[in-house]
Amino acid sequence: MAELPERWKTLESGAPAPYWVAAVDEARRDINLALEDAKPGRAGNDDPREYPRNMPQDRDNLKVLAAGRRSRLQSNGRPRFDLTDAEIERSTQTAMRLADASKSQAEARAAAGKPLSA
Amino acid sequence: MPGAFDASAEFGYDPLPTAEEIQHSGQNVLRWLEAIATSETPWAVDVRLIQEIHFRWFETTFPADAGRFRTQMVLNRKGSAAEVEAILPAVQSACENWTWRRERFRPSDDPELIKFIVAEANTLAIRVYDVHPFIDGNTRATWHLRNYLLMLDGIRPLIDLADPSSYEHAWWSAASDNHAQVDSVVLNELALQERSD
Repeated sequence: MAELPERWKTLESGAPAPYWVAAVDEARRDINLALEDAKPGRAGNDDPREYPRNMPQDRDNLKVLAAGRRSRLQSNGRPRFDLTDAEIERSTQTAMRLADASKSQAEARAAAGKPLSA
Repeated sequence: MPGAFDASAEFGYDPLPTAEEIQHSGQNVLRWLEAIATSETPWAVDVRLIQEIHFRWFETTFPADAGRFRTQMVLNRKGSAAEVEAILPAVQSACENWTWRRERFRPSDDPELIKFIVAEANTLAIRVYDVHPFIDGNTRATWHLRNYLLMLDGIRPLIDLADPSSYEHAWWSAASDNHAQVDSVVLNELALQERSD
């Protein structure tokens, strides 16, 4: 296991910290910083992210998707899809193919000692 | 060098039946995600959901690693895998950020709503993939994670890719804070599917 960062080894009081105490503190800090960064008023956060530009083709796509979405919403507010077995199979196959492509590319640049991962 | 999830001991280390079983499990994952996304009480988007998706994909082929965050460094295609100690806080932060943004910024009307749903789903899928929390199977887990996020908000999952090379180019070059190309490609693919239904 890699050497722990120095700041994880002691509490603020100087007492030795169990690994998990420091790790939880670190995680809390990271989460708070991320949430702070995402708040309105911070640079770029007043509005949702920069989304794809509204090209004519995108506008058409959005209209089609919005109509499809509305048609699937039920009275309880939840959607209904009724995916067929063939659709389920094809979506999963697509994921499998992407994983294969990922691994073969990683292999091409593999460094010794690290398992390849997709 | 073989990948971690290529040949399962449960299937005599034979890659073909291993792949068939993974495919079968992946189909069950998507069926399960459809059920919970459409239920009155969908699962929250958190660490538990991501681990459960991975667990269900690989519990029958690689039970020792299914649903468990990795304990060693790996090499992924983007070279983006996080240090082991950073996995849990990074995945947790990514999920909480997705939830936080959805609660505050989700537009009420089309077409902005559609763009928001797709872009935010891509953000979380890319963030989790880049952290690379599992020893293997991250592409597959995040594929169905995004399908869940889409279905949660009423959009059908991605089924086929009419233009796989555009998708791959966009996906592999995307960053969680810069993925307009992935958004555009995914919107296009989803609209193609919608038109063909």
